[in-house]
Amino acid sequence: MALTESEFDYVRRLVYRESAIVLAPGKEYLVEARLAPLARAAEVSGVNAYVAKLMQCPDRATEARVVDALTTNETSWYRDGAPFEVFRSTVLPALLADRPVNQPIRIWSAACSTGQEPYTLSMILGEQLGSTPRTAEIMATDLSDDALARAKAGRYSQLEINRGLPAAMLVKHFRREGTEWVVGDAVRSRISFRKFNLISPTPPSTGFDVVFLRNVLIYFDAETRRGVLRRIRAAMRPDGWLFLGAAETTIGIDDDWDRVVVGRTSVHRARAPLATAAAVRRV
Amino acid sequence: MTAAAPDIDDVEQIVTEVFGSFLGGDDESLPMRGPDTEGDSPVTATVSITGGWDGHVVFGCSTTASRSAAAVLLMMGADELAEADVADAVGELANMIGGNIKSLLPGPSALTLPMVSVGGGAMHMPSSTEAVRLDLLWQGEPVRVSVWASNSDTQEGSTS
Amino acid sequence: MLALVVDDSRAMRMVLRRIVSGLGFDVVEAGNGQEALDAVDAGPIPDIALVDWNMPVMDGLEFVTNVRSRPELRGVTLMMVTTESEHGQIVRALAAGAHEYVIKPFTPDAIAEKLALLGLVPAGSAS
Ligand SMILES: C[S@@+](CC[C@H](N)C(=O)[O-])C[C@H]1O[C@@H](n2cnc3c(N)ncnc32)[C@H](O)[C@@H]1O
Ligand SMILES: [Mg+2]
Repeated sequence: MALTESEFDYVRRLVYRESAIVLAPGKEYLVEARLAPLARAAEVSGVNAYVAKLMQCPDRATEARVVDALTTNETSWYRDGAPFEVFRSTVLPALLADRPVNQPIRIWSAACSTGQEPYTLSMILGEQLGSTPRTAEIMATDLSDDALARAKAGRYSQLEINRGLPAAMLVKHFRREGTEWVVGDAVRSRISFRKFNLISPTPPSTGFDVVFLRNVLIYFDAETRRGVLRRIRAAMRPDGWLFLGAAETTIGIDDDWDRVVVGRTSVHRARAPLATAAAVRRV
Repeated sequence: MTAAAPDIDDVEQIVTEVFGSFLGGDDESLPMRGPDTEGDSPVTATVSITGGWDGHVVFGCSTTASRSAAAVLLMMGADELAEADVADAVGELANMIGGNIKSLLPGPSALTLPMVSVGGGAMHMPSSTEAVRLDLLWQGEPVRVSVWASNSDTQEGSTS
Repeated sequence: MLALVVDDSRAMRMVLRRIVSGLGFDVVEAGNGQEALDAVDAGPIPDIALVDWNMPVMDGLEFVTNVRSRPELRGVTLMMVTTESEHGQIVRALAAGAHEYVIKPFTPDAIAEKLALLGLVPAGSAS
């Protein structure tokens, strides 16, 4: 049976409170489809009963599972191509020219899902840094425990491997184990994974040169987007680079960013702080 | 000495990926573990593996299942299908499943083109032993994948 | 843009034809490597060939090697689409001159994403 209005509303509020993900009316079908496996696993007769039970006696573990189930973890290697190409051809060379040799390049993959994004970045870094003395570190974070566990495991089915991973990188950086392909240690070693909620007030670290915040703002309302962008800016070096998803923008949300068009994509950079309060604000 | 054999769960994973990709998406329409069935499948497609491992992969199913699969792949009505269409579709399913099973086994190995039988009748695999048999139900119809390992003690050196 | 779909299975050619024509390609089909060479010689020269490995008469690896040996076909992008999924086989195909490699089974998105990597369709053409 379909969720009642109050059951849907309960889930909507819970998910918003814990993750800021907006479940607008009309997403009832999504909620039912995502919670059905949880209801089955809990051996409850259906999604209604599952939610009703949670409403009667809320418990943290079940709540967390519900929130996790409502995150959308869709991702792929080299997603959209151009941002990774611009990272390789423009952003990374600029950083290498700029930063002292002994200073690692610091990258944050801020909604890393099952890991394709940070591993793609790490493979590019491997190719570009090669035998140079330069190093780089990637912090990969996500809210979803399930996605993060899969990211850490670094094991992908053939269907996932087919999704955008260049064949040359597959044969160079992966080995087969059974039906799966496993990421090699060198690619893994640049990345540290940890759970992080983008709505928390303090970032997992600071001083990032590059942040990938791709295809996650789309799930938030304007208010949340503004807060996330502000905090990300504070976690970055002033001359850092921010990559958003193809359908995402800072415009009209947080105007303290400049949009720089590079090749077939655009990158965002913190607008230089104004020298005095009297300086004319841009309109 | 026992020859290497693929893990039955890996074989099931492969079949699930093949059916899920080409024969209708949602979870409910995927093949499920079915009861072990006796007897031979009326429609079979066999591919052989030679090299690092020697043996055969047989994809078998009911006539109805073979026609449903062919109809989906070829986008034709089940009544428009010629026997060659069904053989083509079932052969390609065996090719995909067999090629992926080959990658579970010691390599490098070569894969033969599929041989399809739509006539039924008992299947003989001389000097081979059935190492894995996976019985599934797809749309209520029996589907079976079996992996036969050549009896390695009868072999001298490798087949090249 | 013209895509040459080379596979001995008519069912698989159908699946691939649906996907690439949905991405805006005209499609020519061939049932093995020799037929594919004949199609290329008869012209027009395709922008991309999607090539199965295991086929009668001439297999996909031989087809790729042949195309790569002919300077006038330098512009043809070659993508293997095959059940061959041993690590060493992929290395062999790339060494022979294949630009990309998709392992069967695949989802339509996978083909679109690889074509985007190769610059043949705009990124985001999937789905
Ligand atoms: C569609 S995926 C994007 C993955 C990757 N960045 C890409 O572009 O392919 C969105 C991810 O955002 C995560 N997410 C959603 N809300 C979040 C939050 N409040 N904090 C951190 N991660 C969140 C989800 O768990 C999911 O893995
Ligand atoms: Mg073939």
